[in-house]
Amino acid sequence: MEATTATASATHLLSVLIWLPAIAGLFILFLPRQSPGLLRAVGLGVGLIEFGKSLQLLIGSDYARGFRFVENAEWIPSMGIRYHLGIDGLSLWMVVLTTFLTPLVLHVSLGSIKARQKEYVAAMLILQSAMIGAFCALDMFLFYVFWELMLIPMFLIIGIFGGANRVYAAVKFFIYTFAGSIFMLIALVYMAVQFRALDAAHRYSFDYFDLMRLGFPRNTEILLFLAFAIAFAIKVPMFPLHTWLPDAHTEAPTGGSMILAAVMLKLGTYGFMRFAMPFFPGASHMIGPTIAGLSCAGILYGAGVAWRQRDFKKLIAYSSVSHMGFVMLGIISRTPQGATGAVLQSINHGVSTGALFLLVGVIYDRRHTRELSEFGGLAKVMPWYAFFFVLVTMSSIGLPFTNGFVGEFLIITGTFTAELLRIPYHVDRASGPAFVGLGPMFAAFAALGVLFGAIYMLEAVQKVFFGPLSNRKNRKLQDLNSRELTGLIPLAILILWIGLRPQDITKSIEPDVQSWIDQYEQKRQVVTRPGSTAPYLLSESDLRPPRRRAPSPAAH
Amino acid sequence: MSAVLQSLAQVAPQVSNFVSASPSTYPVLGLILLFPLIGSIINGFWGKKIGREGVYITGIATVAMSFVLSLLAYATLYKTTHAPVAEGAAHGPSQLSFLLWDWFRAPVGAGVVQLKIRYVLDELSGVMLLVVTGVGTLIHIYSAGYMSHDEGYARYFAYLNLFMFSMLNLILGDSLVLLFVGWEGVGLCSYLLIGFWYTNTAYANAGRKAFIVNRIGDVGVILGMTILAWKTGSFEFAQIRETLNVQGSTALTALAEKPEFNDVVAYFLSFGRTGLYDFWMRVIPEFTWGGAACFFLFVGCTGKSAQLPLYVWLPDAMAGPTPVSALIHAATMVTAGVYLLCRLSFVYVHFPSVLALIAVTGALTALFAASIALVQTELKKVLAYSTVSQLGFMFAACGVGAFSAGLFHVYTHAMFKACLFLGAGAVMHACRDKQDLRELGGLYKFIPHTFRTFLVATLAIIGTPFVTAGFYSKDELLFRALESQNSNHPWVGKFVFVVLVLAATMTAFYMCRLLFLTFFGKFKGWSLSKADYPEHVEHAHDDHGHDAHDDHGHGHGNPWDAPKENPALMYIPLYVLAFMSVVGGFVGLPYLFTHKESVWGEWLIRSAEHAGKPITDWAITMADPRVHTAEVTAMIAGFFAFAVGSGVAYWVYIKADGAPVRALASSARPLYQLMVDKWRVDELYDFVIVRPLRFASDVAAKFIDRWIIDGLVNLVGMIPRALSAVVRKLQTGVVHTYAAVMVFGLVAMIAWVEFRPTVSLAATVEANNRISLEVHGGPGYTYQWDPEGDGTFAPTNDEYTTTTRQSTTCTPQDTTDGRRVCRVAVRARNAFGYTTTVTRFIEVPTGDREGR
Repeated sequence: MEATTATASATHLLSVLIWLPAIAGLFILFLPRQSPGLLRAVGLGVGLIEFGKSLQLLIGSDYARGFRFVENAEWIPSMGIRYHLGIDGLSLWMVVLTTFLTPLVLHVSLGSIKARQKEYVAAMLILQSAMIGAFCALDMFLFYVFWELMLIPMFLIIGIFGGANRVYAAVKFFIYTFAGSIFMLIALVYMAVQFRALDAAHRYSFDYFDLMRLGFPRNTEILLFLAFAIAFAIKVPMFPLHTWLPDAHTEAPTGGSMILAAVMLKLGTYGFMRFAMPFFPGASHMIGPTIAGLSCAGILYGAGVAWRQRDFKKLIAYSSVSHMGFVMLGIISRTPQGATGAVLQSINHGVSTGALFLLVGVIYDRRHTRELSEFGGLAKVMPWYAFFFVLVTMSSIGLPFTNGFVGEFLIITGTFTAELLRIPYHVDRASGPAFVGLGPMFAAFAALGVLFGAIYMLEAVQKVFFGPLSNRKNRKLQDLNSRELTGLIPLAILILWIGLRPQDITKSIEPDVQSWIDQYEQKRQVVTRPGSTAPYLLSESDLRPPRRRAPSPAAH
Repeated sequence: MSAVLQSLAQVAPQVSNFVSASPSTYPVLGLILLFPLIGSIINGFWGKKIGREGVYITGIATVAMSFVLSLLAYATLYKTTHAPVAEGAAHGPSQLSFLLWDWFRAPVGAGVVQLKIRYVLDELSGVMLLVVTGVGTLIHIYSAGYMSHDEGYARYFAYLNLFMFSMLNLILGDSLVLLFVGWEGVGLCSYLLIGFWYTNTAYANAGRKAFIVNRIGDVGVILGMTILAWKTGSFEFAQIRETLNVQGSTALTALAEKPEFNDVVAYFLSFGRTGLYDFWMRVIPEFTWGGAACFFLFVGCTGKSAQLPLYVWLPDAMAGPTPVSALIHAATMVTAGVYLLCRLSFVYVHFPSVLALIAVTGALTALFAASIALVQTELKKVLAYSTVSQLGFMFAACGVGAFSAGLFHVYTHAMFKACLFLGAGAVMHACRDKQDLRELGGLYKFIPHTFRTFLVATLAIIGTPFVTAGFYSKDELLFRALESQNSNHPWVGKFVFVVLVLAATMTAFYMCRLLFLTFFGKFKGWSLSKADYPEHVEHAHDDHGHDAHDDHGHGHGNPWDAPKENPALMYIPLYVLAFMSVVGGFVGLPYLFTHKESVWGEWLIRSAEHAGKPITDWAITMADPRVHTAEVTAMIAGFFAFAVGSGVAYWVYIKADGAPVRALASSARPLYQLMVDKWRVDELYDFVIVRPLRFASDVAAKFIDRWIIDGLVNLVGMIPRALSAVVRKLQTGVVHTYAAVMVFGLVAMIAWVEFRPTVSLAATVEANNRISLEVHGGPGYTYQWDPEGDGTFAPTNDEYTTTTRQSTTCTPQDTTDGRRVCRVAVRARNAFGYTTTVTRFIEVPTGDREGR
């Protein structure tokens, strides 16, 4: 957005972050299968180096604005495709979340995956590359490549390392998400062609900032927005496009579920925030109330369906549908706090749902079943497990002083005051259209989601941990081992840390969210001018929002 | 009391000087919170390691430290607020506060505010602080005795300490959001402690029910505080109060705004009809944003403080250990709702209709719960319904605007109800967890300490005139109810008065019944079989009857042993509480006796003073003789309730040995049965709310999701499959093949792009048919140019140049449709030696524009 004004640092940190795991992943394929220790060491080592490197992104990120660590080089100039990377407050924490979770997932899941470890580690690392790439790409073609590249390792992880019905789940996952992104690709190509037609130098461009300058007549804009929205909504997944998720989660191995829920779903909401909405502010404004309605429906529907699940993983998968509804609601509210809450809630969901999948994996490893009815009274034999589970549950249902609360609270209050969520109605034709602001209603539904969350999570907790220890197979269950503990402790610390000091994170989100909204509003004002029948190109000054004082630590 | 305070205030500065820099940085508040948290962490993580004694000491000492520090803080507060006002300042500091750190930034309407983790002590929170830490300490001590045979002692103390921490958050938090932290935190601890003996499914259910019913209220709190902050611009109590107290406050105007027709709630409530909107505006007198905020917050209070219609969790909560019932479900947590109302009294006074709703709800709850308590046969169940009923008294007091009277009752109730619950625990502890009134009796000779304290506490709760705390607090709130003037609904005060007197009569009856059946008469022991129960009533649906209580064993001994008195660890707290149940009331002596403001009233006057709009302007009307009449009336009514209730109970249970009840039960069986079944409210909720919700979710999960939403997806997926009969041979079903094909496809795609030379030729037309050309290729690309478009490329043969720009003057050709175009071409070769030729026809301006 403000690429030129940003502190374009000369480092290639983002490139390193993107390509290091991929190269390591390919390298691992040539390592001997017989030495799992080496595989694990390389995988983990790369993951940790990656995480350490990614922490450099945080330096100076407080209250910073605009894209940072920008890299911009030609890739396929004839088609206007560039190797353009950069991060800002919207993507920064997503990258850090990815680098944080990947080594953790590798560490924990290598305890339960014994066969084909080499392929698993390689797939995980390549997946990490693709995800980071997608979060950093500022060229739409580059983004699309990473976006599709993600599917392959995840497809392999589900299809090879998954449960009994893994092939069906993997194919469904692949086809469903792929089918959605086809629409996005078509829209992208159309936009690039339009850009060429309008551009003075007559060149193609897939560059984010170039495409941002395109304006479209209303109907075209709506079609294009829908094309993007379908791709992203499937990924989120938004109700009613969610049915691939429970299947994928149920069949995926623990590590796959963790990454899928914790990071991959966020690419959907990130896509809405970064691309679909700023590109098409007029259309997304029109469709906003519908999206908010679907989000609320997803919150309640996901919770209701989760409540009636007998399979533990399915329950968590549907809870993801519910939680991601919150994130979408926060984004579509387009209020600074609502959207900041949405980004924060993305992180929170990554941490707590990741932890939940890890925890379910723990009992699955021991009992090879996820049927809730198989358990009961486990608190007696696995007290530490119960402790962590209840802690994560509290985070998941948004108990204050855990991370979940801050995100949900910001989203609910932000949505409540959202002025952009409104639909026109007519009382009096003479005085023109009047609007009903829908924010309070959506906020109330979301608040109900907080209640429903408690219902299904506590019922699950009770079924697993409380009651008599009646199933004989559970009498000898081992409590958490050191591997699982070392995986859970960082997550638990994060849960409390974000709950107690959310500002450590939000202060590097908020400024960019603010400029995201300003940018959005500015473009919306420009493109809603009536009268255009053909696409047109806006100048950079058209898109520049009116100056706003940069928030500083002092400005409370 | 004030003398004690003053002497403490003398000592306090010396002690606190080294920790306190100024009222705005008073770290003792942080320590008060920190100690229970530390205790909880130690007991939770290292409980087994430090052993039973270690856990007791940690648990008790941390809370006791909090109590001592609370006394210190309270004295400091007293001194600070009573210090001479500095020159030039309008008033001195009225609170102590301690900022931990900035929490997060939350939206308030268009703006945003910085929420802080900051704790504040003022008069109101000071009173609560002392009650909570004081009673908390006593109950921790008692627990050490009570839990001495339970193997989960470490977990128990960890939870209990965590509860103290949460409760202190609730009390000391400076903003609604921080209060909400404590609010949900105590809910969590309540959940954990009710389900403490989690192997019993019924107990675990009770815990879950408590949490979820509370969450219903919490939704109200979230919405209420969102609206309140949206309209007042702050989440902080002090700031909200300040904004409201300003003359001509804009925040007040904002709160008094009615939702426009096009505000979503009003719009949908009116189904988009202006006529219906006008109707709502007429029938709901306070259909304003402020009224909505107050209403939603009150919904939260009904959850936390077990009022109609959300009281149903509290009776079930008795599944927890008895000290927990005493601490959480009687003395402290359940009064949080009253505390919130008092905290926000300066908002509530502006919405008399909401207050009327609160008053009526409270009064009806008091009556309703008392009616259930009349016939319950379990010791703790009676006390639970009694608690619900007493909370109703407090809400009624707040509802009539007598917030300080409500809080006074919170305080006295904490003393005598904690004493009663602990006494009940002592009975159960001595009688091997027997708590059925039909099995007890005559215990006064076996457990004399328990009996004496229980007697005193009972006398207090039934409002024995002149000597007990219960009398003074009940009198205070009855009198204020009678005296109150609700500007929208003048009848509320009288109504509440009548209902409360009735409820107080019932209270006297059921509490005396409890006392008589437990301690008087003959000890029936544990030899009776079920059929021998004198008042036997079958209640099959009672989901955790007395049979369920035997899996947490303590007090095991010879089955024929007489009940034995408990250790001193348990009865000393009882004595302290019993003592307070008597003398605790003297801080609130009525004006009638002393002809001056009571210590309590004087101390809390700051909290009760709402600049602009006091709802019961008692500071002024005190001198009014009419008020004396009201006070005398209230006192007589209170005495009447006490005398009739206890007299009838004496007659029924001592004189007639329960015969009248049996007669009544057989003659009015349906009514009696309904009361025993708690008016079947649980069943009603189950039928009206829980089952439909579960049914809808079942339909969603088992039908809609699987067959409609996913069915459509699979259907769409089947179409290409049906078309691809030919391709089916390729579908080997082996994932590796798919994966390999996909990887190959992707690689091929990238390779195709990389190997095939693709260039774009950009042209800019300048004046006089001059054209600038620029070719975009890539690294390693070289070119041959044909700018004239005549088919000769330069350089020739296999030589290529790296020049990417050319400019030329072309000779335009006319096209058939009247345009003039120039033909230009470029041949590009990439690093792999592949070439491609791009030809473009560039439109130039027609002749008449030439040369411009």
